[in-house]
Amino acid sequence: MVLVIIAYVVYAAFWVRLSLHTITWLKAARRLSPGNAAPRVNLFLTFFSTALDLIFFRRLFDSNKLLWLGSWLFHTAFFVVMLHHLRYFLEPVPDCIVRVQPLGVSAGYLMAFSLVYVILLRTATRTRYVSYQNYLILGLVLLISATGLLMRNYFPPDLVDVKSFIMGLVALRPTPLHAGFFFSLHFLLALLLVPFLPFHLFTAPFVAFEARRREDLLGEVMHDR
Amino acid sequence: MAKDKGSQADRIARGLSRRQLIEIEACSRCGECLLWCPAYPHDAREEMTARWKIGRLRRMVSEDALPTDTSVFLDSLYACSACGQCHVVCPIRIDTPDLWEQARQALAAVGLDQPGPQKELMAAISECNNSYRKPQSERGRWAERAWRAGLLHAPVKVWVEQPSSVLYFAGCTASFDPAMQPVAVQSVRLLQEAGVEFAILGQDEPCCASKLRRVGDRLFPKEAVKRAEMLASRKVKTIVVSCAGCFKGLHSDYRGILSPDIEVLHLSEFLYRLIANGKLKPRYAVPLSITYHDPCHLGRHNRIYEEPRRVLRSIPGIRLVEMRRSGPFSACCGMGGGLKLARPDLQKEMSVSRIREAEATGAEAVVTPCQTCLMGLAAGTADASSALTVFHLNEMLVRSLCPDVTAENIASAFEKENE
Repeated sequence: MVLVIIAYVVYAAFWVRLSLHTITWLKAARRLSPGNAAPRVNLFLTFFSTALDLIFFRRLFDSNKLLWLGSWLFHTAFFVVMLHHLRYFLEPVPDCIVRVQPLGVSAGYLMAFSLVYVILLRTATRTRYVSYQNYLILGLVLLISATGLLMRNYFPPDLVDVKSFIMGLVALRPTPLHAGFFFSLHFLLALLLVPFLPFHLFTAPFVAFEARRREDLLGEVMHDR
Repeated sequence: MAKDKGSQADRIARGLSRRQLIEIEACSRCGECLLWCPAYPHDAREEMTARWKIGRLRRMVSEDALPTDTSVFLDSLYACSACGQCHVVCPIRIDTPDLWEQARQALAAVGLDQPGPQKELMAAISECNNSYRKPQSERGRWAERAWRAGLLHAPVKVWVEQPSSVLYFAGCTASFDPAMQPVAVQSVRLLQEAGVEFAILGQDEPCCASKLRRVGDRLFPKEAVKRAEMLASRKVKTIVVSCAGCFKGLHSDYRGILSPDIEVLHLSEFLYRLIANGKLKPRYAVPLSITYHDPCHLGRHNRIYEEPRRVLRSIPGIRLVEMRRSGPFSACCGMGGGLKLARPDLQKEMSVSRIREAEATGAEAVVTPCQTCLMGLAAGTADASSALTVFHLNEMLVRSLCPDVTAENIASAFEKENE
């Protein structure tokens, strides 16, 4: 029952925080620039370029290829693992999610290994640039990943119980959990991660899109290209 | 969250744009900014990093209170040349230079003012229309002197007397600093060599006011509008700017302010256009091994990387070698963003560091198309006791086209006139 309460507190805190931030953004006066309208760009092309920037981490590829390799593999694997986990949240499970299940297991290993690679690479760099918050987030994800793999290989939980627990949470009709220590730990760690992640995930695509749009605008006022 | 409408923190939040408020939420503190920052190796405190400054801004906005270490935050905000390296390497591309400039403006609006030397700069521009506190009547004098000294084919026309298709905008530094006046003289001589019909504004040429934007002066938009209206009223169609700072000002900071009918080009772009059209044909060999320094305002801020290099490659005899950090990753010499005024010690170390990087290429000289970088790097060679020479891009071209107007010849001709 404690897990259920924590889950709802984290969920509520997330939405409250997001709402308050949205209100601040809406209230903030847009900086006024008098005079003529700036040239327009093709927003579809800008959107497409931004999508490529985000999917392939192009900026990181340009600046740090070794880190890009680990980082891109990690995020891709993370995405596939999230898709894999959707089977606990949906009933009936869509066909596409069923198909991704075998891939999800491999992605789980890839996620853990790429994360270890990223941590080693960042700690081995001559300039110590990893912040405590970085360590906290990376450590949390690594623990979540490790507990997931432990459950997969050595301590399998009762998946029916796990699914009914998650579905109960989603439907606001919580049911007791009997899935064992490792699932409880895995779930608790995932809840702990939520307060650290959301805004980066939600705002990064907008920031990248805006940057690309401004860069494209620059192209419009440049010459000889 | 900023709830108290009258609080300083709330007013700072309102001074940032919506995009910037989202940007400060988007930083994941990954630290790529720190890894590439050209200032950080010389002052390795977390407070120097982009992620720390963004974190402090986020805290101000979200907690509706100024942090207890506001003075540290102010120092770190101004101990930055806003070179944009952190923007280039940021995985989600937070526009840091714009954020720092806007934050400086938002902080100044609530009484957290610019450091003293920067306020003095703002006052000079506002009172004298140039950062050198010189009378405007002296602004176009370099052109008259160059003609009298026989350095030009013809006297330079002044716009009020004879409007032209091209306006050459020299900027404050090349107009007033005797050490940089050769840049202006060489620029007009090269335009004459190519047969370009052009004029200068002379004593009517204003300071572009971009330095006001760099240090977060709230008067910048108003001042920019005044200048944009003046240029439109003169029916200017093409502006050629030889200063990278003025170029960033007129081309980028004035976007949405300057009439879209006015084309703003950096001199290096224009020279390349003239070379490509066959109007300028470098002829004498310049046997020199050089490395090229990308000015931040031209490169990272406006993506002009290739044109100056193409100009250099068109000159026979020149061997161009790249530094370890070049193009979008070029290390800043520290002369931008008001850093030299706020932290001269840091600027000096950044210049020396860049000179060391240039030395590592084995080149004999560093070439840059920005007179501000030229000043910083030249001082850097002296501080580093380096054998390297620093040249403006113009110098390479005049050596190949009209060697009678080398910087040395111009300086000595002007000196003779002074005597």
